[in-house]
Amino acid sequence: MADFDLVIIGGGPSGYVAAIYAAQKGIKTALVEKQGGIGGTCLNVGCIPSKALLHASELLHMIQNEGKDWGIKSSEVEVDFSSMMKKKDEIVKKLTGGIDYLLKKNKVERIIGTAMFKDKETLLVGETKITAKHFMIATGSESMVLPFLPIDEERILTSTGALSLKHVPKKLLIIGGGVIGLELGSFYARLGAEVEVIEFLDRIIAEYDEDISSVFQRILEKQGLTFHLGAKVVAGKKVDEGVLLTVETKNGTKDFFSDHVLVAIGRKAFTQGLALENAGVLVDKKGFIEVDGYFKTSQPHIFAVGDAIGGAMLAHKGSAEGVCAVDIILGHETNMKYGAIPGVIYTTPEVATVGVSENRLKEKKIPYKVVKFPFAANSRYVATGGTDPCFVKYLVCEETKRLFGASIIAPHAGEMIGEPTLAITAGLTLDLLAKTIHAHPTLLEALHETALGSLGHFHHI
Amino acid sequence: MTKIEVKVPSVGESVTEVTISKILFDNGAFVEEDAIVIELESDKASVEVPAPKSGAIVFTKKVGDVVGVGTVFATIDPTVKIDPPPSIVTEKNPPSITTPPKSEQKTLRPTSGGVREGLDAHIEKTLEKKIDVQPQGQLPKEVSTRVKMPKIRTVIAKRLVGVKNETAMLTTFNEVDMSQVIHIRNREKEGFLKKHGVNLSFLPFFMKAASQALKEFPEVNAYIDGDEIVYNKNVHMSIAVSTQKGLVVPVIRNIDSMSLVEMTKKMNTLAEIAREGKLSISDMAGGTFTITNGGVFGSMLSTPILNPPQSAILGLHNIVERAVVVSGKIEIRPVMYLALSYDHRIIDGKDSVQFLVRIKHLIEDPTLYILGE
Repeated sequence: MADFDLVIIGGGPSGYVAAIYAAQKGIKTALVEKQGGIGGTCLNVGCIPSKALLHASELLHMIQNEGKDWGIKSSEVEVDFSSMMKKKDEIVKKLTGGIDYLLKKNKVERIIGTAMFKDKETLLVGETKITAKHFMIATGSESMVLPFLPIDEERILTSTGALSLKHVPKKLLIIGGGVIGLELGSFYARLGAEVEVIEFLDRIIAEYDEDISSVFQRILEKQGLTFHLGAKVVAGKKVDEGVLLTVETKNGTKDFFSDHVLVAIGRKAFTQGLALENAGVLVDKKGFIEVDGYFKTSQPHIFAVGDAIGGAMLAHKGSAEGVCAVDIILGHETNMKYGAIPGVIYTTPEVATVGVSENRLKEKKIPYKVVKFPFAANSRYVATGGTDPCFVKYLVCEETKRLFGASIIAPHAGEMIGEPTLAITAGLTLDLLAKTIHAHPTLLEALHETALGSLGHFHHI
Repeated sequence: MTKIEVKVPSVGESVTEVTISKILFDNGAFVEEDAIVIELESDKASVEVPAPKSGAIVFTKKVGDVVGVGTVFATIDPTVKIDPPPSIVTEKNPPSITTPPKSEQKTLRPTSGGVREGLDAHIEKTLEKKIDVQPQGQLPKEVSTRVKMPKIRTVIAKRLVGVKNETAMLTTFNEVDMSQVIHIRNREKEGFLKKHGVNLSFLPFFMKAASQALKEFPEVNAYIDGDEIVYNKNVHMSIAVSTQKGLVVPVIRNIDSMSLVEMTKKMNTLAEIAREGKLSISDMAGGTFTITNGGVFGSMLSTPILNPPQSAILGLHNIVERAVVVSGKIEIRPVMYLALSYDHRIIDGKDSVQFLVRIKHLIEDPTLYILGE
């Protein structure tokens, strides 16, 4: 008799949500996570602390800069960086406490420690042997690093270190123009750091559509960030009071000096110490755990979800996969729609997307129509002082009047992306989106206009 | 050694295609020679196909596919000798915790498949035309679902409309006092069950009466073929049986030479096979007259539709105690309404009415059987 029906390894958004759901469905569930690790990367060193800090820097920006436009004058504004960090830590603590409470309330057994497989059916947490009918690996991911640039989290940082610096750097070099690099770059730029981004590809946020990338880059440049595209960091070393990077750019090899470097070139599966080989669980070439269409690893009773299996490194993607895998264990009908996972960059303005990219449609030779609506024609945006070239973009199937994808670059884009996400999930038509009454004046009206425009009749342009 | 192809067998004359109704093994599973691997459904019957050899089977068609006779629907690799050991999960799991089909576990697909709908699946769904709930000022619609019409249903539909179009069908009615038959049944049923192992029901009385009447009215037992009338020498009685897949009509052959006990046994056997969906084509072919009993579902009166190429069908209904006048007095009697639908092209009104009256008399006074009157 196994100790548990299901043992989940990893207390991040994939693991803890699956654990709560499984327990609610009457499965005898345990969750293994080391001390202080509950909430995973997202809550401790990812989404949540970065959003807290971005909010603080936005506040500063508003007081310092935007206030003037409205006749709000402030004399000397002072930033107490350590208080800002403390506030962030308090928020993280409050939220992790919340998860602990939820696990307890739903009677999920918490096993504190680091797990390793002894064999297919046994997990070792310290000295304790745990058996289960099913296992779920949700151990997440860790930052990828450059071989010549060992991380010390003081000068050479991953996102983890960048979220707990002691002071605002004078200059910050960011390797990687993706979501993580740009969010943190945005934060430090607002606090006064000189931020330069080195991106290997010829555009930032390459997973987004090209028009979104270029507008976003222009907006960030206006905020003080500098970009070096098509540039490859080939060497780097710590020197006095900083780091020196050698970068191959389009205009030849250049040296970049900075007091701190943030390496944000992507994330890789974190499975170290799990001893997957003891359980016969296979990983692919990149180290991600291989799963089939049912989240089953090469051992059919061992499931894997979240960052550890690759795909979009998003908390909500992992949570959805975890719940989906529990449904598989229960034998319930279920599905996981990868075409309806929103992605958000929490800068100001925010950038959000859902569905497939324009490039993918082009590659597959699928006929589509692009419909855009500028926030310059949205009354709420204008009323709140918006001047950036923000817009909504829908990729439309004209024949079925449905959405292939949507992108938004605007304040609160992360909230607004919920509308096209729902439309894609439910297969709603643009007729229905156009028929939906949106409150006035709201930013969401821009989405309404885009739906109307998709049908050929914008109201406000 | 090469793989063995498993083909759709010939399932009877005039059947050219069948629908795959059930696949009994997962892809890659080991099957024993002669084990049933697939169930096919034709317009007329369900057919099970056994494995021609032992080995690992891989299906190339899926449930719902319409396949022609002779089409390869699976291959068997005879070099595989034993069943792969069942996974730990299936062994140990309580029934509540299930796992998806084994076949899906074999292939490792990192981004999609199974329940995981990737980006391309989203593109396909977006392109898919489907009926959407539209907001355009309409009253709420009934939510409906669309399913492909099962083969058996399309054939039923086609045949029924054909009958309406190609015959001159009408119905005559009568009522029958069931007192005598009920009396006999109540008296004999225990002994009958003990002796013959089957329940004594009302239907065989009607089968008996009808086969007697059919001998006396040969047109009712005949059918039209082109410009000729074919008179059947024997009575092969079709009995309508309701099953999950629809109505099927097995035939009791040469019923005119059977005793009531034989009829009862034969009918029970056929009804059972029918409900299991295992009637063969020959079990349903060659009937000359049909009895259908809507009474079991509570029907008071109906106009049954002909079972072509037959010329008449007898409809039985529920037995209800009714006030009837017997020798000048009102009495309570168990009464059943009878309906005979017939093809007026071949059966005259007089004959149809007298045929039904004859059945009525034989039921109301079963001693007539004995007397041969």
